[in-house]
Amino acid sequence: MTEAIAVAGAALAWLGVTLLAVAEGRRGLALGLATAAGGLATAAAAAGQPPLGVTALLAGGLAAAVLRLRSGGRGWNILPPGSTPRLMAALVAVLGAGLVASSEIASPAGAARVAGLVVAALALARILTTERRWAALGAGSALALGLGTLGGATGLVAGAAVAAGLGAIDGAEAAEAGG
Amino acid sequence: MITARAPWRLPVPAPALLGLAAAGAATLALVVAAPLLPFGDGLRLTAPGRVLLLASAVALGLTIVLAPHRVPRWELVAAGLGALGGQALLLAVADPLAVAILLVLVGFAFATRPSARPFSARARGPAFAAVLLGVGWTFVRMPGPAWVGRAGALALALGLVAAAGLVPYLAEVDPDEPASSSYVAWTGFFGPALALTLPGRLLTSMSAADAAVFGATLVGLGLVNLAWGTVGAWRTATDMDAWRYSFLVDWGLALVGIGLFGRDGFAAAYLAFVALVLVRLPLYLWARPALLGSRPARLGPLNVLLAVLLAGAAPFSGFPVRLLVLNVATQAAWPLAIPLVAAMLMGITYAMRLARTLGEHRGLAAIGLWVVLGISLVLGVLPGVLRAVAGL
Repeated sequence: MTEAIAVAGAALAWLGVTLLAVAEGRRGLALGLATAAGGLATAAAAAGQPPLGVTALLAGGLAAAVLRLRSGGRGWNILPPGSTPRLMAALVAVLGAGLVASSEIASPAGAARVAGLVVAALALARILTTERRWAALGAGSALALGLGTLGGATGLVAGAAVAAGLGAIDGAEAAEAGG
Repeated sequence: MITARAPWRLPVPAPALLGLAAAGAATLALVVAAPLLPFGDGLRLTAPGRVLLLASAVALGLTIVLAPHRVPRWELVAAGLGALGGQALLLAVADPLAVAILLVLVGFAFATRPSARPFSARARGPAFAAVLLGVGWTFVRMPGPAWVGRAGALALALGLVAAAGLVPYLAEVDPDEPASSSYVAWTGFFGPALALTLPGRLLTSMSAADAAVFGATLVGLGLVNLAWGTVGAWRTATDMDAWRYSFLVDWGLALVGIGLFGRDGFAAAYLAFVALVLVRLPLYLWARPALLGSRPARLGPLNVLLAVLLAGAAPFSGFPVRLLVLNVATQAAWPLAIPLVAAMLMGITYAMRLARTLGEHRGLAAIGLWVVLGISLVLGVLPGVLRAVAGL
């Protein structure tokens, strides 16, 4: 049962980070971030991580998602023209993570690890390709959550704190020059 | 054209600076007081880490008060406190994965500093390094085929180099960008903190085969950076780039020292990083007015003395580092000493060029230059004391 929950959590996390990668609107990005946080928390809980750490991860991800609604592109704007490479990258990332962790993907801990690796890889891909400050910050939060899932309680809490902390940074492009 | 002529910065709001300074000071206090707190186990400053933190605080104080700046000093105090807090966290956090996660926060927070380059471009380097470190750490601890652990060790070594912005991840540096906003801060301030403490924490959890990959990668990258920095600082067209490449030379020696795993090797890296923070970085700040063309470059008697320092010759701070690295290299594999000696000798060719750019300073700035020279002399003459303080 826990295996199925962990795999479902990993799938939800992948869906969330894929949404984050193909969204050019603040709502789409926030939904992707919240979904990824929910999926990662589910997978981590199924893997037997401490409940406090899992709750912190979920809270940090949700806080970051809500805070990202303050600025950025209007509306949802999911899958605008030119999103195909990002969608392909999302598929390749899940295949790559599955290849690396193929020996333990059937275990809850393995599924949680695959979820963390996929979220981290796709969030990094978003950071490396976007020119928008708010999108980079949203992906940075996802990156912290993904990396946090790869560790124990310390990693989960650190990931949550950093995700929420990045949410507090102003994402408005106008703040670019002044900092 | 309009963009090119636009001012590179707008004033940073005072509340933002106050918040940055308060966050930095609070983090620093937390790290220093951690042994007295219930969760102190997660925050442990090693002895070399304590020395580097102290050296960084001294370097910040010295440069803020005495170095010539375009940025208001109160803004530098705030940014400096924030940076010191970030460095203290990177030095003290015991869990390597948490360090990788914190690198994301420090990198993104640093990218909010005023700059003409976009935020997203400046956040990429630390984010990439964080992923390499986080994924590498996961791989080396993951049960499975041997290649996964070796790939993890490779990623960890590359992550350290990426965080510092060295070859092959040489970050773009805008000459007009102040040092407090440019990637030089990663090469000369945050990078040394990571490279000084992380290898010790990583090696305790690695198998011998993974550790060999980690060490060999560091030695290889060290030699590449040493060669790139030496030839680059000598042959590059601009003095700004020459300074930048000179940082690679120090890093190259430190990486070779770490990668060879010997006690003397770690000591060499430790001395190199302390000198990088206390000598190389401040001297770069003193050279900035000439690099930006606001002061003429010239070669006075003090500059000749500084050229000796920058060449890594005795009795200054670079000399014990070179001696220790050569000692470890000859013990491990003597042919390794050939490129090291060649790079050390070639260091003389660009030292004079760098020293010229330090120009002539008056008043507080001149005093500061003499203070840096004195610090370098102390580091060069008393490396044993410095090693003893750090338990190396």
